[in-house]
Amino acid sequence: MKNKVAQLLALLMLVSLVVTACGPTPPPQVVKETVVVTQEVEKVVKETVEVEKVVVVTATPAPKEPQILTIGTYRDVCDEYLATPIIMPNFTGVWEPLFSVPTDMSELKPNLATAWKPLDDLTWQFSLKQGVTFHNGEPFNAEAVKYSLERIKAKISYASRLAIDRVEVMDEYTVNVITAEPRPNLPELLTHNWTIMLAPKATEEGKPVGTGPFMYESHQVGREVVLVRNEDYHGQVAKVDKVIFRFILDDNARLLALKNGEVDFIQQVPSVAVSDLANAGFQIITAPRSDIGLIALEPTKPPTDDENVRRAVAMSIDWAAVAKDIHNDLATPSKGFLPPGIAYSAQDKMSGIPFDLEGAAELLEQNGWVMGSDGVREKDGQKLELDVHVSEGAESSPGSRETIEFMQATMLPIGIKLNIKIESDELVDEAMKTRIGHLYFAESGSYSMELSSTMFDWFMPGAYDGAYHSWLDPELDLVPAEAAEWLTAMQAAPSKEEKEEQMQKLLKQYFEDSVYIIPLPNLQRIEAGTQNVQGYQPHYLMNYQMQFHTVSLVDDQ
Amino acid sequence: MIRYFLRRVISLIPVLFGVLLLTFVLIKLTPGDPALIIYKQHAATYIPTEEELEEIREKYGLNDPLVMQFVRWVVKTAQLDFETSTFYHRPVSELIAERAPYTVRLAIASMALALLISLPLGVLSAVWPNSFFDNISRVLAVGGSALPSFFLGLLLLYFIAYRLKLFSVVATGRPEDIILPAATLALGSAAPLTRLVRATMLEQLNQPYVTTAYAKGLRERTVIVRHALKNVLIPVITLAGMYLAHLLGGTVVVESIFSWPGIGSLALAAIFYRDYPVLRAFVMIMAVVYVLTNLVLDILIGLLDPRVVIDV
Repeated sequence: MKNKVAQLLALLMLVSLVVTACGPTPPPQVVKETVVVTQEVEKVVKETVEVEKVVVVTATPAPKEPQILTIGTYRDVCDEYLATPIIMPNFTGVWEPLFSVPTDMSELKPNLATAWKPLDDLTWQFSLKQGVTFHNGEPFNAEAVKYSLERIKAKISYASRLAIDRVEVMDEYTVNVITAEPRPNLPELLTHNWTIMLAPKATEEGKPVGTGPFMYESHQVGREVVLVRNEDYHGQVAKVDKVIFRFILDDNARLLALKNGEVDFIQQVPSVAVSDLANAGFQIITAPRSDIGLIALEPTKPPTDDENVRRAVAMSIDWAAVAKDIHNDLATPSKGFLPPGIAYSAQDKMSGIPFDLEGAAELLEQNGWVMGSDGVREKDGQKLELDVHVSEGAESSPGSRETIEFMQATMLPIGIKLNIKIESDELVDEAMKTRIGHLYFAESGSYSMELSSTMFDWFMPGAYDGAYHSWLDPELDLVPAEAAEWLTAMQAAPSKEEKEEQMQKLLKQYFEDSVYIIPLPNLQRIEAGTQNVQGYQPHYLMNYQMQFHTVSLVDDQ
Repeated sequence: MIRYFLRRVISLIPVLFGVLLLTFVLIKLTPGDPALIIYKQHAATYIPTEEELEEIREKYGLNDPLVMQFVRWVVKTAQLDFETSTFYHRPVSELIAERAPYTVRLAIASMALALLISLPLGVLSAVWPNSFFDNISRVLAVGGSALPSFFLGLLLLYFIAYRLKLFSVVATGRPEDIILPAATLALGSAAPLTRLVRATMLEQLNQPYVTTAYAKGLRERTVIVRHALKNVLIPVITLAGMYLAHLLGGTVVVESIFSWPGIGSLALAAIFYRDYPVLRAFVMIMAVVYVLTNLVLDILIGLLDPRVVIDV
């Protein structure tokens, strides 16, 4: 009996739902009338059971399952503008910079800025895209650009590179940016993942609101960030409905989460896991990294003040073996400062310093470095013992430690002894600054399209008062005076070929001729996903906005 | 009892001051220029100019005399104001408040689980010494102490979450997410606790009062549960309390393996990004948790065993 009543009630509810759903939405004031209708329906149901079947057939089809892309990421990172921890500002697709950088980094593309031109040495004028609104409805206009750039200037140490003095609103969609010193590459510098456009009102309230293809939905500290598609995006609207960034710190747990189907995509795949994942049917996505590892050599301290010693060190590193054994074939030996494939890296034009262990021994022998009784070479009482400062910190290049241990083992037989000092990034920097070591493992790279700006730190004689690298110290006169012009000429050069020409001069001087730097292998950024993830395009730029708005998920059926 | 309690509380003050001083000195002694560290968090691969570094030193008060920095820090800490994280750019107290509930939940769950395992296992091993059951529990205890938690955690993830698919690999906020990390931690602390319960119980069972109880004709269960177990609890509570304090510090490795957003993973990230304000607060809070746990333990033991209070 109870069962029957329940069935009846269920039917009643179903039918009344269908009736209310099929009919026009009743205005709130006619509630009483609706009640009357349901009573009538009750009678109909009692008479015939077929009604139920008809209802089922005519019922609206089940709504399409929302497409949710879940990404296993390795960090729950801050956003220093908004005091809302969320993964890197630009990286999530919530915010955008004024300009966009195509994946191959060939040239600057318009985004929120549609046109840009220098008015004089110190002034850039940007024309803005019209009709763009922030996720909360605030208009994107010149005032918002002014607000964002001023906030960046006040909050971010990177901003000192932009040298922005002030921002002037010319009209609703035009701004002039005045720099304190000439910045011919300001638009390129403004592609940095921190130079994003913020919604002024929302930002002041501490809310994460931008113009990007995804909108912030929620965040659980240390756990996940949920983003939803921005239906009103001014560009190509994202294909997936939702993106969930799930923070999985541990490499193994991240791999298991992918294999277990809990995430569709993972970042930072350890190179040892690549073949296993590929065999298990996952897609592996690799892209060159825009950052590069370097070994800096100290030219002010014996024995590395001897150019022959520096060259012998460079000759005795078997980079092919490092790429194969340490990076599991996911790296290539480097001959330059920028990764190959990026605009003007000139890596294919350089000869580099080829691996030649015997040649290195011979070079040392010829220059008076004779083998001592303890297996370490010496000259005039000076032992060929080198202190190597290697960082194990967050920003260090993967595989640095294994590489230096490999170098230690290969160099000892020819009489070069390496003393390895593993320390934090900052201590390696300090060692470099105070010139207390012989070899330093360092990393350099760019987060913006202006790749050459970090090259100042390495190649610009006298660029800073306390030059980190002793070869840039104007008092020591270790590089020819014209070297200072090569870099500025490279930045100003209009074509890729002309830039490349200057790059070759720089690499020849600092790497091949003087051996002040030895580039570490070109590494890949490795990501992996299920076969369902389609349309993902990795970006060369570290932490650049990931292209998840181009991604769609296909069913395996 | 109240005098005993007050004396314990007063003795905390110099301990806490010592902790503050030690933490401050240790962090100041850490090599590396803090201004450079802060700079690097924003512009990882750039080399700062001296002016840029000077600006940071001014902003973060790194140019002030050490004594002033220390006093400022002590005053702020006393107000539970733990500076601002140089990485997250949010007040450290806020970060810790967000994460602490996760750690507390995990610590309590794993401690409860550890006691649930170790008390019956230890008592039964003592009641039937050198039996098959005792040997099995011994093997489990040795195994539990020998397996490091990161390895045990990965094993559980691999077999239970990945192979058997009983739980998910990544914690996403479901109630059952706590089971695997709690089990990993519980197995680690249950092992020594089981051994302790067994040893103390054996010792108690040989005491004259137990013989008397048997002689009075009490049932074995009553003798063990009512009389012997009470005495076993004193050392067990002490050890369990110390474990709990340890667990409250967040178990860095387990939290990171199981994506558990507690204090441990916050501290790990702070080490990774050299976020000194977070680290300082973490060390401070850990010290306070230890000291307070000790206080609570002392009081608990005082209640369980009045002789302790009288001796003082």
